[in-house]
Amino acid sequence: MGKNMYIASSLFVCLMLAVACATGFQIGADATKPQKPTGPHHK
Amino acid sequence: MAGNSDLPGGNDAGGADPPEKKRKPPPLPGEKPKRKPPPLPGAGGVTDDADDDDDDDADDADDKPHRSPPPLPNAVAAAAATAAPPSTEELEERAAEREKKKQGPRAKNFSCTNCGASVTIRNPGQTFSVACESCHSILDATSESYRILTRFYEKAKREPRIPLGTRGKLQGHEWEVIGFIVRRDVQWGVQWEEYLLFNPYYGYRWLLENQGHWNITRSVKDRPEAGASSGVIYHAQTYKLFYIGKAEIDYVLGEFYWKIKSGDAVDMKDYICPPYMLSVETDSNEENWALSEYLQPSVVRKAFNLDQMPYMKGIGPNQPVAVTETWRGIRLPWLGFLALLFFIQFVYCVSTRTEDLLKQDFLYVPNQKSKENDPVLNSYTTRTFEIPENRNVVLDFDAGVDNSWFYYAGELVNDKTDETFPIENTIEYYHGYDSDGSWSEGSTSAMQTLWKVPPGPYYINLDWESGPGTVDGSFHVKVKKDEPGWLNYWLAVILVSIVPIWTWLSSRGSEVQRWSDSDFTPYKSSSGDD
Repeated sequence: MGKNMYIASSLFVCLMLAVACATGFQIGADATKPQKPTGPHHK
Repeated sequence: MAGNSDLPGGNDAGGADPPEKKRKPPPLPGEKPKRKPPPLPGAGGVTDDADDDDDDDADDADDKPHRSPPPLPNAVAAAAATAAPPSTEELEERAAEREKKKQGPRAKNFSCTNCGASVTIRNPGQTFSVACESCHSILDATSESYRILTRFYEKAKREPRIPLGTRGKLQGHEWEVIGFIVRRDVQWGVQWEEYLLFNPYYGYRWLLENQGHWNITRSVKDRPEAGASSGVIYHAQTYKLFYIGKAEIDYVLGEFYWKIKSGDAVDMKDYICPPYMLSVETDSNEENWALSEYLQPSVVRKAFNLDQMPYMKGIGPNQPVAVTETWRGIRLPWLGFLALLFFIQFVYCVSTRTEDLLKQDFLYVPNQKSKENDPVLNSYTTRTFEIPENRNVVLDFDAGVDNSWFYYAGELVNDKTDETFPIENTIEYYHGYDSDGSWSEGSTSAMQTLWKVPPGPYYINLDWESGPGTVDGSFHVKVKKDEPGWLNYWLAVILVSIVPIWTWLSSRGSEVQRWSDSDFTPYKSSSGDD
């Protein structure tokens, strides 16, 4: 990998981190969508 | 250094490149030509005077041509046809040239004093010694009787890979091979070959071949300064000491600008800064410095139209290694990207407003299984709390287990819509002592991050089971909004570091191999025997 390609790919990684920080996205976060109620949920 | 090396300085693979030249070439006699540069002497019927040379100092460190390179005869004619009207001075010079041409060709022939064979001097006036190609005796070219300096007795005849008289273009200039030397490291017995190249306009160069590695070498006038760790500094570049030894001449062919003879020996030192190498040769009379530049074998092969090239062994002392160049190119950008990533993460952490949405503790009875008929014993519902924005929610559970486990399952429930987010995990923590000392595994807490939970009132339903062991029976639930995560950051750091770390490791491996041929390697083995 050449220097320029490394710089380009690293800049992309930095950009992705910035986007993740701005949107609150976190690797490993549970992205499960809310499920419909299936029964009584006691409180 | 281990004695298994077959290179100067005690090495095998890639060994110390040959100690580079040379006696400082003498200044070329005669005045500088004001017009066309002289063509190469010898072959092609080019004629010229012995004293016509443009005397471009062969040892000029800069080696910057002051004029265009010497054209071949056709080019000379073409240049002459398009030349401007000559001045009086030029006319006088031309007349002098014509007079000199009458004296015959520049190359000079005579009979070998030892065997009577014809010997040709391609560059008379600058040649101090010449080897007979028939009997290999070395003759004094400055003596009218061509006295014998050294008789060649029996040492195995060596055929130069590049025959004398061959012309080739290197570094943009055309050179003719006029001399050939085989030299040997006295201590290790390693031989290498040196070809003396000549161009009447640019002077002398040496083409060195050692273990399949090639260098083109020129003498330098200016001396390097002493640097750190036995190195030297030359033109703002640090050169590291690579080799110290003594070299002896084993075999000579062709003509040379000093009186050479077999058995001549000099003390040598090599300093490297790939692709360059500085060499110094010292004898009782003088000290000569030379600068070598590494040449790829394909370049030499193409320049001299060679059929076969010697096998290239290991990494040459000043051979540039691609991965090392890559590492040098990206190491600073790498540090810059690490700093940039840290800056982004720092801004993210500072700007994120973490807020506790729920903190609640309760007690449980250890070592109890879920009992459907007794939900009160093993289940719990938190109070309702508000999630204000469509952001991350971190659920933090701490069961305080000690050599035990705690399993929980449940859901985060939207109190308005009854939509749920499932929750399930096992907390376990064990520790103790064994023959290796203390150990531990697991954790007393667990964390779960839910991404983009819609705003609204929520509560948590939990059911659990716990194992035997010592537990304090307290369970803590904490819900936080926008807890800054570090996993993204560390993953980015790894991605940005993979290539630099790989190239650094590869580069280091190459450098260790390169320096394994040196007594002065900075890569000492742990046993200290390297």
